[in-house]
Formats: sequence, structure tokens, C-alpha cells
Amino acid sequence: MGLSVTEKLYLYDSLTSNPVVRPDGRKPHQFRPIEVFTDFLPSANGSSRIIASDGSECIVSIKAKVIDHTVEDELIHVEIDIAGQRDDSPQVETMTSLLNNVLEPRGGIDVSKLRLTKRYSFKIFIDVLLLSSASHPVSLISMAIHSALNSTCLPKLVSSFDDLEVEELPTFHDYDLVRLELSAPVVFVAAIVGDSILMDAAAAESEVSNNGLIITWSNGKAISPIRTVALNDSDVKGFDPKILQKAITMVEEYAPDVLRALNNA
Amino acid sequence: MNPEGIPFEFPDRVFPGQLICPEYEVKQQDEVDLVFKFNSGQGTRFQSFKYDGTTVNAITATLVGNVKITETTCDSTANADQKASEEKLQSQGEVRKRIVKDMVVSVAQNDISETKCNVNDDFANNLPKEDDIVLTRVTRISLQRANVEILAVENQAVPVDSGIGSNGSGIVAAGGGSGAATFSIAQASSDLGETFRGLIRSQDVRATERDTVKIIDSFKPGDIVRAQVLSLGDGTNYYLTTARNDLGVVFARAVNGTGGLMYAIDWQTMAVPSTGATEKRKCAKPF
Amino acid sequence: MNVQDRRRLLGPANARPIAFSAEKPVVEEPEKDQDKQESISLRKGLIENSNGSSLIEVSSKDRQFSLMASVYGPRALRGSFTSMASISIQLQNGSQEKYGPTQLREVATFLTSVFNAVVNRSRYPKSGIDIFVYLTYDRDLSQSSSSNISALIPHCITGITLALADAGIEILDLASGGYHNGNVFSFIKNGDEITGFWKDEGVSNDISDSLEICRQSYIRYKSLMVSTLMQK
Repeated sequence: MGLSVTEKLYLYDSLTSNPVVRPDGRKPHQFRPIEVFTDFLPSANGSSRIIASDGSECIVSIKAKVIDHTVEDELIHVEIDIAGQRDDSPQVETMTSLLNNVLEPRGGIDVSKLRLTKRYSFKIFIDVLLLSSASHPVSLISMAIHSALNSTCLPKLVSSFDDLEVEELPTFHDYDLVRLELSAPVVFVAAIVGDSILMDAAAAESEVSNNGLIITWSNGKAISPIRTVALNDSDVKGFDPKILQKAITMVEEYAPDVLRALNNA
Repeated sequence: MNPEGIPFEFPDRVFPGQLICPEYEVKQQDEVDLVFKFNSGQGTRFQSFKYDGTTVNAITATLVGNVKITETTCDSTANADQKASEEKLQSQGEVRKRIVKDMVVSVAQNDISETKCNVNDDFANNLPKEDDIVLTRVTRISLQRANVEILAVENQAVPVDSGIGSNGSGIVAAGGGSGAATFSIAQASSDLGETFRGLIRSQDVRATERDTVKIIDSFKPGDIVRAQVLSLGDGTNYYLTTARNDLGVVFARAVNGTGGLMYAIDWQTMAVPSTGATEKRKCAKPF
Repeated sequence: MNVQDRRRLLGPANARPIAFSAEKPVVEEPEKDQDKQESISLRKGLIENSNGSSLIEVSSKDRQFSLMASVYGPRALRGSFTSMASISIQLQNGSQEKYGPTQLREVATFLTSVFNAVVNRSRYPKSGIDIFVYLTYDRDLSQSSSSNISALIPHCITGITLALADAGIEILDLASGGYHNGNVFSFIKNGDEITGFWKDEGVSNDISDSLEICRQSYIRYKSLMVSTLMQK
């Protein structure tokens, strides 16, 4: 989207004024409505489709495979496909690397729930297809992953837990499924415009932002990875160090509400 | 360094990010307020700093080099401003006069400040911009336009690089660099000939009878043409013009580049001294 | 092994391999002040066929590494009109293939966003500036298995800044950064502005402590850069 110089200045001034005036009348921390559909792909263990009000859309499918975790230790693998972009384009690779990092076990996710027996675990494959996006898509993708994981059901284990001695493969119940309660961290993108911080920036707001922050949140606190990200190509600038702490505080304050809304959807 | 009575010391040698001077400075001198207004030139830029809660504009260096200050003649708008401010002052009953001096602050890199050269093919700080005179080579002609590649910018320090390959002085990243990142591998530039390109439309060839210009009678591929930049143009080409007496072909060889070097005998004819053969060109005034 | 290997010719059963005397471990006695601070050497203009380049060598108690940055450009860019230079940064492994390609790409994207704020890009319309960073040598002395790339980022920033200044490309300020406890900050304007922040490990409540420490190392790197640039 191209804004003229005047439009940009107008928008910049209104976003940096006190109190912040956003074009759609939102508060700085307010999100736009999103629609979430879960569990609609019959061939996957869990799935979700998320549609933002600006037409950004993302589909996530979750599939599982039984692996020997003494051989392979990566239990969660994310693969991202962005419509219209090559798999080796910088945006796809950066996003893949970031989300693999978000879902890394040392972070907020509890991988012990994937453990089947002393030897075998479920490995989860998360496939993301981003159909369209107007602003930085990582927040939308992580919300889609979060709700997809919440809707995931995996086959129920019927064999014994301790299989180190008996050397048997895990066997599963024929039709009973167990809900996987894996609470994935959610990523928030905060746009920095002057000294204001805006959550869930729309495309036009991203266009005038000086910088952006990607903040991961899990279980009541901000966790790593946290990093700055350029939300546009033309107006990237440095920002005051105080803003960093302010943005993290803002995420920690409002993330529980966002998560509650997401989980009740 | 302290030219023209500016009441503070300028740094001599600077590095990027170093403060050079504020935007304005006033000196009181024999009943007159001498106001210096500093503008940023090459190698410097205005940056705002927060100091004690207020935002201050100041000129900072963006290159490593020596500070150079030149006074520019006030243009008409500045004079008008100056008069207005004088009137304002007089209406307040003050008698002090105010003189505004416009100064351009620039940073010259080591080698360039010392060597005086007319043509520069180092593009690092010298990309062609509007109104610059450039030297170009014709690569292709059609009925409507002549395509050229820009070899150098005149009267300025030249950046290394645009002339990659074609003038032998450029440097290109192995693997094609940003060219390769932007396009698919098939389109990626080779290491040769990655120059800034320009085009001269037939109506920009000369100032008179612009609609009867025949490109074929003005330029031939291989000619070296002195041209002026009209605009930055589109993604691929700068738009250039030769509609001035001192612009046009400066060097050309006869018979599509196979013959000898030709010399201009009038503004639209060039001749080979050894054979006397003439060819049509839009020539630049040699002197 | 109780199963006899019949597939190859074996020596006598009672043969013993030659035993060498144990290699004397090289005792490195770090000087007292090196205990706390790493020693850095900066050099510029090493790569002849680039517009600008720099070499950084760092040696500290638990890590030794060096990296080279080279800058090419500005050069003509084809395609649609761009009013500002487009910067492309590529990170490359040295002889040790330590980091995965996606990880390097992510760091490169991060560095690009840092330098989009540092380079005076509006001076270079229709051009591209190519920056290559080679992580030539990287050795972890602390024996900790996690060899993270985060600690290298401040030095990448320093290296690129130095190479840009060496190439004579206009930059707003000398950017550099610091690393502490998994937090990486990139600063300009004497630490009053952050151009980049990167955190891959740890929790969020130690950020303000790290900020001060990183600012100290930024100021140290910056003064080193200034002295490297100002020498003739």
C-alpha cells in the first residue's frame, strides 16, 4: 500500500500525539477482531483457520508422528508457506527460524506432554499456510498455531509407559483420542511510532512506524525470543531505550485478555 | 578551522555521527546581528537530538573526512525572509540590522579533497542526480530514443561502482549481490556491465524542432555523449537530455565504430580528418 | 566385543596400540584485566576488490572469533524505482559450518533492519548496497555446548559499520552494540537510541540491567572504531 508523504505525516502526527489517535479509533493496546475456526481439516490431528478483519488469513494444520526421542530430540517442527513467496525468500526463512525458536522446548512450551513412553514421543509437525497478510503476519500465525494446538487430539496410548525393558512399540486405542493440552507461546508485534507503542498495527500504521518489536508471551510473562523488526522499508529509525521496557510491560498487561478471548473463541 | 568569523570552533577531521554545528548561530558585530544559517551538504545530515527535554537540530557528519564550509549566495526567497525579519524588528522599535549568511557544511573524504579532477567515476557519494552533467556511452538506438549507460558524473568526485566492468573501475560483489537478491537467478546480473542506465528521448535531443528529430542522425551506438540528467526516471533508466549547446556527442568513430575518430565541424556534422567523410551527429560544442 | 571379527585381517590378539604420552595442555594464563574484558582488534580496508571492508578479531576468556565484513556498492539496481538504497546483508559461515542457513538468514534480516536505520539511504536512490559478513573463525573455549550466534551480533554490527565507513557510504552514526545474558542491544547516538534488540534466551526481567552493560560495551567499541577510522 502506498501512502503519500502528506498522508504519512498526518498519520504519524496523530499516532504520536497524546493521547494516541489511531485511524480506526482503537486504543494503543487494542486488537482488531479476528475470526478463528478450529478442527476443520479431517486429515490432520488439529487445525485452525484465522481471519483478521483486514483480510489477512492463515491456515495451520498439526500432524503427529511417533518417534524414538533418544534418537531425535526435536519434537516440534514448524514449516511456513507464504502464498506468492519462494521457500528460500528471506521473509519465509526468517519467519520459520523465529517460530521454531518460539516453540523451542526451553521456552514456554511444555514438551513433556508429548512424551508417550520412556523411549517414544509424539513429534508434532506444524504446517502454516499464510494466504494473505496486510501487515506483519507473525502475530496472526502464532495465534493460529496456538488455537490449532489447543484443538489437537492425539490417539490414546494403551501400552505401558515403561518400555525400556520390554522393547515394545507403543500401541494406541482404536478410536479414543486424548486432547493435547499444549499451551503454545503467542507472539505479539508492537509498532513503535515516535514514543507511542501500538499493538496489532494495521497496514497503514506499520507504514509510518519507526520500528517494531516482536515479543513472545507465555504463562503470564514475556519470554524470549524478543527482537526488533522493521515493519516497513522506508522509515526505520532508532528509538528510546525506555520504550522497550514499556512495550514489554504493555504486552504482559494485556496478553492475558487476548489469550482469554482467543481460547474462548 | 574558523572561517568568516564564525564565533565557534569547527572540528577539523570528523567521523560519522560527530556533531559539527547547530542549525543557526548569531554573532553580534558593530550594531549588526550576523546570523549564520548552516545547511547540510555532502557528507553531512541534520539530525535531531533530545537535550534537556527539548529537541535540537544539528548538523552531524556521515562520512570520515575533513569539514568544509562554503558560503552560498542567498537566493531570492532567503532575501525576502531576511527583509521580512528586518521589518519585524524595526516595527518593534529596534534598530539592529540583521544579515543572514547561508553556509553549506560538507565533509570531504581524504583523497577527493586534495586531488582536483573534473570527472569522477567513483559513485559512492556521487550518484547522478537532477541537473548533473554525465558522460555516457550509447548502447542502443531506436526511432524514439537512445539508450545509454552512464560512465561518470562530471565535476564531482565519482563513486566506484556504477561503471562496473564497462569503465573498468567498478567493483561488484561476487554472486551478483543485491541484484541477485532482488531477481531470480536467471535474471541476476553478471559481474559485468552493471551500470546505471539512461535514456535520451527523441524530443530531448535538441531544443529546437524537437518533433523532427531523427535519433539515427543524432547518435550511433558506441558514441560518447555528454548529457544532463532530467530526472531520476523509472527503476531502470535515468532520463537525460542533450538540448543545450554544450551537450551532445563528444567522441565518435566513423562507420558505426569501425572508422577513425571524428571531429565536430558544426553542431550536427562530424568529419573524419583522414578521409573527409562526414556523418550526422548532435554534437556538443567543443569549447 | 565377544563376536570375533572375521571380515578383515587382524593382528595378533595380544597386540597393543602404541601409547603416546599425554599432550601437555596449553596453559593459557589470562591476564587479570582480560578476565573481565575481551580484547578486540579492528582493522579496515583489507579486501582490495571491495568498496570497503573490515576485520574484527575478538578474544575473551570463553570465546575467540574473527569476522570479516565487506561492502560493495552502491550499484545500479534494476526493477521498480526505489527512492532509497536497498541494503542486502548476507552472513556466511567460515570453514566451520557452525550455524544453519535459516538461522543466518534470520540474523541477516535483523542486521538489515538495524542498518536500514543507520545508513543515510535517501542519498542513494535507485541503488543497492551489498554487505557480506564472513564468520571466519569461531571457537568456544567455555566448553558449554550452546554456541549461540547472539554473542556475535554486536561484533557483526561493529564490523559492518566500520566497513561502511571505510567504503565512504554515508551513515548517520557509528552503530555498535553489546551482548549480555542473551540480550543484544544495538545503539546509536551515544546510547540514547536503540536501533535493534535481539533476545533468544532467558526471561524478560533482566533487560534493564543488560541495557547499561551493553551501553558500556557500545561506547567502548565506538571509541575503538573512531580511533581506527581517524588514523591515517
